Amino acid sequence: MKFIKAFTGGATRAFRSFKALLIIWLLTFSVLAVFSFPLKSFLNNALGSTASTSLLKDGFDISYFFNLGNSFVPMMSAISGGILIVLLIFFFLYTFLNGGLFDSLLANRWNYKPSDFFRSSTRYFLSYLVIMLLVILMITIVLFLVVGLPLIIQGAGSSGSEEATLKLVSILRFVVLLILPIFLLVADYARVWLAANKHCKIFKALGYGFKGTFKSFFGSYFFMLVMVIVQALYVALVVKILSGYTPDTAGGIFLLFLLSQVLFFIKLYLRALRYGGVAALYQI
Amino acid sequence: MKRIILPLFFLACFIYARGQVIFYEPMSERLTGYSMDVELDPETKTVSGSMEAYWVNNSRKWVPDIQMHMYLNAFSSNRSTFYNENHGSPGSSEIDYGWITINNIINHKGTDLKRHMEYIQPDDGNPYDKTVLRIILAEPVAPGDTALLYIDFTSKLPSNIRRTGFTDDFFFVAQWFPKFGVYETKGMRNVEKDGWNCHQFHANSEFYANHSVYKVRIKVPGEYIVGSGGQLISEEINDEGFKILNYRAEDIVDFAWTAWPGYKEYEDQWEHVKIRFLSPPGREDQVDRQFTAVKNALEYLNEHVGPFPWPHLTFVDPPAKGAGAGGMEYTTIFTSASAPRMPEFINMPDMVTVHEFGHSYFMGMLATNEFEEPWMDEGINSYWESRIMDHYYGPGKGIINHKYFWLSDKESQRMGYVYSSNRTVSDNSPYAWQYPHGSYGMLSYQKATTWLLTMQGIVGEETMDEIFRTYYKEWAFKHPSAKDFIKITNRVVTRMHGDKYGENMNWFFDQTLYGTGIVDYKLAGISNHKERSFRGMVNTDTAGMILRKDDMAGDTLYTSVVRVERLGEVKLPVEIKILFEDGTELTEYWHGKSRYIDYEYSGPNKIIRAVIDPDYKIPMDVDYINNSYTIKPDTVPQKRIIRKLLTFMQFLTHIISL
Repeated sequence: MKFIKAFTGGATRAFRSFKALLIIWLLTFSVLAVFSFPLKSFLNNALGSTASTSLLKDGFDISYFFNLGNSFVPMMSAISGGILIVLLIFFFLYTFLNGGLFDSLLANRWNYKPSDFFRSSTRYFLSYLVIMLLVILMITIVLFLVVGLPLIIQGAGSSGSEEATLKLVSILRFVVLLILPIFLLVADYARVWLAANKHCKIFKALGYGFKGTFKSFFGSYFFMLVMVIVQALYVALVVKILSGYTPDTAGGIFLLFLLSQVLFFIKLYLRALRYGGVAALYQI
Repeated sequence: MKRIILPLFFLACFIYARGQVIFYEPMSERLTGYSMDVELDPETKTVSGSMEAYWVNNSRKWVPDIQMHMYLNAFSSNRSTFYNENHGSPGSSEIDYGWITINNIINHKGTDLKRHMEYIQPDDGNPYDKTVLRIILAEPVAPGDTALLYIDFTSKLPSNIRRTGFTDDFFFVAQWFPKFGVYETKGMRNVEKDGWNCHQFHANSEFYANHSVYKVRIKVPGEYIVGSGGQLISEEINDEGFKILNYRAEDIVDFAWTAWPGYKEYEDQWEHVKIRFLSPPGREDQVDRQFTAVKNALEYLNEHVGPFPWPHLTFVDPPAKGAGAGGMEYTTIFTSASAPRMPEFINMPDMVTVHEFGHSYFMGMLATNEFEEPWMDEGINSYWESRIMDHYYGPGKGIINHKYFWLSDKESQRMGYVYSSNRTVSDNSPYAWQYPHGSYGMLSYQKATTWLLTMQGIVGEETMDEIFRTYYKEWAFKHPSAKDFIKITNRVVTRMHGDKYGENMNWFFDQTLYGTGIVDYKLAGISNHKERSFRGMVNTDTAGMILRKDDMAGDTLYTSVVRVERLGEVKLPVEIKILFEDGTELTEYWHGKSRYIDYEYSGPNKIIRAVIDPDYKIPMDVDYINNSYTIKPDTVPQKRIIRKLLTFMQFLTHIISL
């Protein structure tokens, strides 16, 4: 019953938070677009008036970019270094925006104002950041204990065969899938509690995160497990759709842009559904 | 006389052992041969036993000594030349070290030669290196005479598998017995005087040896599964539960074997060749592709180079714990490298199999000196690997063959060369260990492959095949050098093309094999100028100076110019394809020697695109992007890539934010 309520409540709340989702999409897209300009201009300069781009028409020939010669090294270091910086910046950005999103999901009304969104984002930023870092630390420790350690022991064993390692990896993959929702629930309940109580007591929130998770464990857990699986399948589907679509006209590129953004917006919605579901469970 | 009769009898026993002969007509001169009886002790990680070995002096001089490789001593200390070059160490505990020791050595008269042994270091004088043994004979070997040695030896295998060694109960036993160097006579491989060619064990390069006959009896614990480069003559379990295997191998340059209780065995057949494959459990899904790969290589090399004569072939996919043994070649036994559940679109295991099998030809049959001319072993073999992979696994997709992204073997070789910052530090002539640091692999494998592919682009695939068929016909089971290969190339190219490429191809080899320059042709630009009708002051009889404006009759005319520049030092002939706006195309041929050339045309159509080397015949060109120019650049592909990259980043950043 709680499981169904979480879904319906989450879906409704996420739907009513469309303004918050639009703000998140717009902000993240703008920031990412800023990062893309140097890459665009670099490629335009490097490729100049070459006719060789036709080699990329049907897909991605890996060797093509090695022809950039001396420009290739700085490009690759810019991309690899850039990706790390982008990931870090976006981690902070999403942590910031989640404050507003949780507040909007808890408010659960159509007329939620953007100013309220940013006020909440600012208010909860530091608390959310610490909660995220602590949950990530917990996940890392548990992954090491549950995955790393068995693999090390298996590898160190002189009779450890490849077959046994493969079986172990399959089992561990399943174990991780089962464990991950617990930590996501802890993080979500903690953030919901902060937003609902309008204060910034981090450890109290984290404590509630665990309490909320285990209070009505099965309802919450299965909801989260299904959400994790749905989102993973959705990402796999997106990869399949986008890698299969190789437009070769300017119109096609625009269509690719629209398609990719619609798909990303759905991803934002699914995440909001997860947060909203936990908010609904909290308010039951 | 007695001195000759005894060895001849021994030789005859070796070569024509009844019922065990593989080739009734020997494929090689068989100047050396070995008969060994050895036992593997899995506890002490040693192989010990006795060996009877012969060497025939085919020179015109009396030879006072013999030189033998004692490769396993490379693992006996961290100061051996091998470890000096790779800056490593055999390990920390006693079991990690490898060594080979001669317990007893006598000649056919029973004279003890142990007191007359010394370790020498012909390459670097490193006193810690004991990988070359010199034995002063009791009496010099006369021209045409045979030296016989009876040796008891113990080989301790190293734990850190580099080409050879053990991990737990997995053994790859290679470079493991006292092995003769090659006694070279004046003129052979263009050497100036007779003498032993017996190099130390180096970090790079492995092989130079005579084609030999091997008779090997191996004793292992009963549960072990054994694979070797020989043909199995008999196999039995003795009363003590040990497995006794008798092998015979002919005309191969080295004898290696492997033993591991975990192997799963598979068999297949290609024409006359019985193929045996040893693989660890858990990799059943890789077996079919491995057999396909080796059969592809057999078929292709048989057709384009020459026949594979042996009726037996064993190859091994070492388990993860023995991965250090992967990617090695011993003519009739080689190792591949794979992993469980390797996706089908990644052709790496297939590539390793094709490559290592290819060494059966390039080094195995055409027994070049890898120490001194590594490109003739690795470079030529990689060239054939790239042809085979791109032929069987899809043109342009030999290494990665995914629906949405791909990589050809030729391009992966080329990438290794053009992308390297070391690409101009040396030519291909140094000895393997003399390449400037970090450049050996790139120059001897990838640069050599790239210039061989470039030569193919210039003279054509048919000519290239004919060069290699002739090379095989004249040099299989002998020891060719670079100069022999060049001579054949010059002869074949001249025979097939006359003087189209000049008197010979030396101009090509001088710039590529013996040169350090790069190839880089650039299409610098296209200009289209409209031809204008006359407008100017003219003097008339009646009105004096007046302004005259002519109307151009008919179509608009353009003067169009394509400029091609040579940025690199290497001068090669290139084709330039020019496309006009009405769709007409023309191809220009440029010798490529001057720094630039302008092609000028006048006509009603503009030039819209020009491409140097449109068919990618010159893979040595380090930059394909500047090989073309268009007045209407198509930016759609790069926009698509950027758009997808951004979408990927959007999703990734969202996923990590939990």
